Amino acid sequence: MKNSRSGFTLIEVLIATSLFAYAILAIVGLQGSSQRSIVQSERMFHATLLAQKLMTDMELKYQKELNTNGLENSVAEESGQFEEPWAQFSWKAGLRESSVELSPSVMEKYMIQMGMDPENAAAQVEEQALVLTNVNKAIKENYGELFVSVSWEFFGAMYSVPLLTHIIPAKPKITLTTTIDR
Amino acid sequence: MQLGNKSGFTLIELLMVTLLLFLLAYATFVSVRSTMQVKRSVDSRTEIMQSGRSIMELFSRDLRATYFVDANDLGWNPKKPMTFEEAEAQNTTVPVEGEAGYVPPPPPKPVPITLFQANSNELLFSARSHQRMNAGIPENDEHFVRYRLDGDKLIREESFRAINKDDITDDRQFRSFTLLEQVENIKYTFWNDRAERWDDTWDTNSSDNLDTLPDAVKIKLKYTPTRSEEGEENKKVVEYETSIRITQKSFKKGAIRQP
Repeated sequence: MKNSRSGFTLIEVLIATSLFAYAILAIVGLQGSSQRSIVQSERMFHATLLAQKLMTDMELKYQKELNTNGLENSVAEESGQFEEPWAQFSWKAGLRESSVELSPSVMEKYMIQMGMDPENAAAQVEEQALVLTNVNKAIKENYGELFVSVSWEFFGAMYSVPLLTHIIPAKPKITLTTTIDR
Repeated sequence: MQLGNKSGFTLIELLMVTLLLFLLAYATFVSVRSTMQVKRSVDSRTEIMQSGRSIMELFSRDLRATYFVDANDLGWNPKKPMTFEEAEAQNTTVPVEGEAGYVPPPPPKPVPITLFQANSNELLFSARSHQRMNAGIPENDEHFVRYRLDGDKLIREESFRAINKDDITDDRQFRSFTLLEQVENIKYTFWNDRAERWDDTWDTNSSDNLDTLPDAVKIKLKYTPTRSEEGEENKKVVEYETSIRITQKSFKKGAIRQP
C-alpha cells in the first residue's frame, strides 16, 4: 500500500526541470538576440556612413591620379583602421581595372531589342566586330573600378559594407586598333 | 480514527509549495521585467538610429541637388580691352576712347542668385527641387536650403522659391522645422579641389572662393539623445561622420579665374 503512494519518478522530475529551463533560456535568448540585432544594425548604419565618406575621399584621390597617370599606373589597393570612435571598423579600398566587357551576344540582343531582324543583327554584329573590339579596348584602358569596403567583427563573424563605382580620366586615352583579335 | 487517517497537507508541505510557487512567480516577474527593459532600450535605440538615418539621408539628398550657375553661364562674356603687352607685341599703343579699336571697360559682372555660402556650422545653398519636401509647398524648380543651429537644435529651412535675391533674406519665404535636438556640435568642412585641402568656409560670392562649388562636404554630427538602458534613462553620445560628393559643376568651371 505504501509503495503505490508514489510521487514523481526521477525521470519525470528531470524532464519537467529541463522543459522549464528550456523555456527560461528561450526567453533570455530572445532578449539577447533582439539586443544583438539592434547593435548589429547600428554598426551597419555607421559602416555605411563611413563607407560613403571613404568613397568620397577615394574618388577625389583617384580621380586626380587617374587624370595625371592614367589607369595603368593608378591601380592600387590600400587598407587601414578607422580612428576613434570608429576603431572597430577596418577598411579596404582601391582602384582596379574594370571587368566590364561588351560581348557580341549582348550587342546582338540589344540590336534585336531595338527592332532589328535577328538574322540581320547577327550579320551586323559580325560586320561591327572591329568597333566592338575598340570599344572594349577603350573600356579596358580607361574604365577604373573604384571599390571600398568597410568591415567589422560581430560575435565571431565578419560583416562588411562594400561600395563600387566607376571613374574615367578627364582625357580618356583612346588608341584604335585595326586588327581584330579572335 | 477514520478522520485522523483522512490526512490533508502538512504545514511543511504547504510551506514548500508556497515557497515554490513564490519562486516561480518571482522568476516570471524578473524575466517579464527584463523583457520590458530590453524592449524599451531597443525601441529607443531604434528611434535614435532612425532619426540619424533620415537626417543623414536628407543632408545627402539636399547637397547632391546643389545648383550653381556663375556669371559666365549667364552668357556674360564681354570683349576684353587690349593689354599693354599685346599692344607692345603688335608695335602699337592701346587705343583710347575715340580711337579706332577702342574697347570700353566691361559692364559690372551680373551676380546670379544661386549661391553656396557656408561655414563650419551653417549651410546655405541653392538647390534644384523637383520634389516636394514640405507638405503644402507647390513644386518649384529651385529653392534655398539652410541648415543652422539654434542653441542645441539642428534646424533645416527651405524657401518656397528662388527667383529673387531677396528670397534669401526674407524670412517669410522660409519654412523651417527642427531635425534634431540636444545637438552638441556639428561641423562641416568643404573640399577645395584647386587648393587640395578641406576648408572651413565656402562662399561662392567671395573673391577667393572661386565661382564654383566644393567637390565634397564632410559632415560631423555629435549629439546626446536620451536612451533607455537597463531601466534607466541615460544621455548617450552619438556621433555620425560622413562626406557627400558634389558632382554638379558650373559648366565653365575655371573659365573666369585662371590662377
